[in-house]
Amino acid sequence: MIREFISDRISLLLITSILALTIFTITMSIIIGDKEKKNRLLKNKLTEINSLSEGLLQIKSIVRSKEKKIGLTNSSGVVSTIEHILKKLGIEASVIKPLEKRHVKEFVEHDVALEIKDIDLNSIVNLLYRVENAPQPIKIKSTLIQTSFENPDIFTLKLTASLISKG
Amino acid sequence: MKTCLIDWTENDLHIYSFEKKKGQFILSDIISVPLEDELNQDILSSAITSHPENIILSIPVNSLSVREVTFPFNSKSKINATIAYELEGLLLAGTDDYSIDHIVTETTENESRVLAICINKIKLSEIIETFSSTGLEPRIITSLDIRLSGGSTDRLINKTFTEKEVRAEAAEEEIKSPIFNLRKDEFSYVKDFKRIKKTIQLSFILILFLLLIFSTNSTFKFISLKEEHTLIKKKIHNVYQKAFPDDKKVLDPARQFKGNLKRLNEKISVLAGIDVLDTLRSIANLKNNGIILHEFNADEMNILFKGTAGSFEEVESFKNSLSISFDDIRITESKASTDKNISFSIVMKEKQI
Repeated sequence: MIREFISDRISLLLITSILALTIFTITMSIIIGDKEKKNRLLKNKLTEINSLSEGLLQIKSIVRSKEKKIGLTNSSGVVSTIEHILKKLGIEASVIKPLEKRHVKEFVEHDVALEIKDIDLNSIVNLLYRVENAPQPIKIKSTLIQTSFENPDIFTLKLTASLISKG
Repeated sequence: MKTCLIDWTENDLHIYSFEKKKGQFILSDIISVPLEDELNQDILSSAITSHPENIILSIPVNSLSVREVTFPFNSKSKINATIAYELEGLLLAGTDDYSIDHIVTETTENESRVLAICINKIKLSEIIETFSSTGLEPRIITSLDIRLSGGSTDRLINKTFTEKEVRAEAAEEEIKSPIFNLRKDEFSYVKDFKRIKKTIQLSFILILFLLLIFSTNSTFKFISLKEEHTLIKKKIHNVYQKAFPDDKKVLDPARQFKGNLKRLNEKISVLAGIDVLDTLRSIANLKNNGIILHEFNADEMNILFKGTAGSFEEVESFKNSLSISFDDIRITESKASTDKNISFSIVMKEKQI
């Protein structure tokens, strides 16, 4: 009976078509599943780089500005640069101590340790602003601000800054 | 289900109707029609008004050619395969012109006596045509006389079985298990098969239709996914080009983006120091009533500050408010001092891009 059914032309055509379409549909389902997965991953990547690109502009501008400073400046030295800033602000440091020079990647960092006692908050802010926005490529590596025991409005500032130059 | 055995004898036509109830065939009706002339469609139409689902036809013994054959074996398959050759020369025409079936009448250890029942194919075709044209196509063609004779040719020739009750009983037995069937090969009953075939074909057409819908849908989905894929890739490329316009060789923008970002982050870790003023401003802008800071210590890794608060809740609330601008905030120390204030230390990190 089955043999007779299969030997019938229409039945054979129907069976062949069903088989072909089933194979096609299954293959398409697998391909679609794979494509959906790939698209989901791509969407995630897009979302990720979209969110990263928001902060990227800021990073790029910092890097560009710092690199520009390095390129333009012919600095005399880290101690004299810091002394120049302090002089402009009328602040006297109790300690200015040059530290070792260090090679980091393509740059050279020349550190300086600075200690200022009995300084008010306004002067600290002015000093930090001047250091951060100095025409020389200076960066602050560490800061310690402590109130004094006698007067909570008077502080001790310990700062490590670094002058960066091309190595 | 109604089953009907049409008992066609030389002089009469008996129709035994059976109803199947709980696996048993129960005789429900007997119709008898005398046959004065040859059996024809009119007689059949007038005798059988309803159309039973299952029809078995018993044909008169004089329509058949019956031969006794002895085989030197008792294998049924061998008998089936060789019976036509054994009958060659025993029939009026060649065996190809006959539809042949047989019943085994006697079997010994190495011998079989067989009664071969043959009918001329033309005659068989005419019988089937006569019955089919009135919508009474028989599923099986057999003979009640051969059943009643028990396969003995002597009884078949010498005895007549005319009693209705006896024939009705034989009809019931025949319905349950036909003794032989002359509808074979090209005369096989195919009405049910045709009906089933039609149903299956219709089901197949429906399946095919559904599959066509599915495959069309899949194709459209695939095309749309492909377009979406291209669009997302283009968007990623655009974002990359916008971020790094100088980079002309773009192969894998997402990976290149992360690579460039990593390179910039490494550069910034060297070039940019800690943004003390920004950190101090972020802390100062928080609503931190009751919080007094005594010490601020920041380096490239961590930001630490120490202070006092009115309660542990204030410390916790201060910590929570810091989480908007900073990461990895931990209260490293929190204890009540002698002046009923809570002194605390908080360590945190700047948020990373």
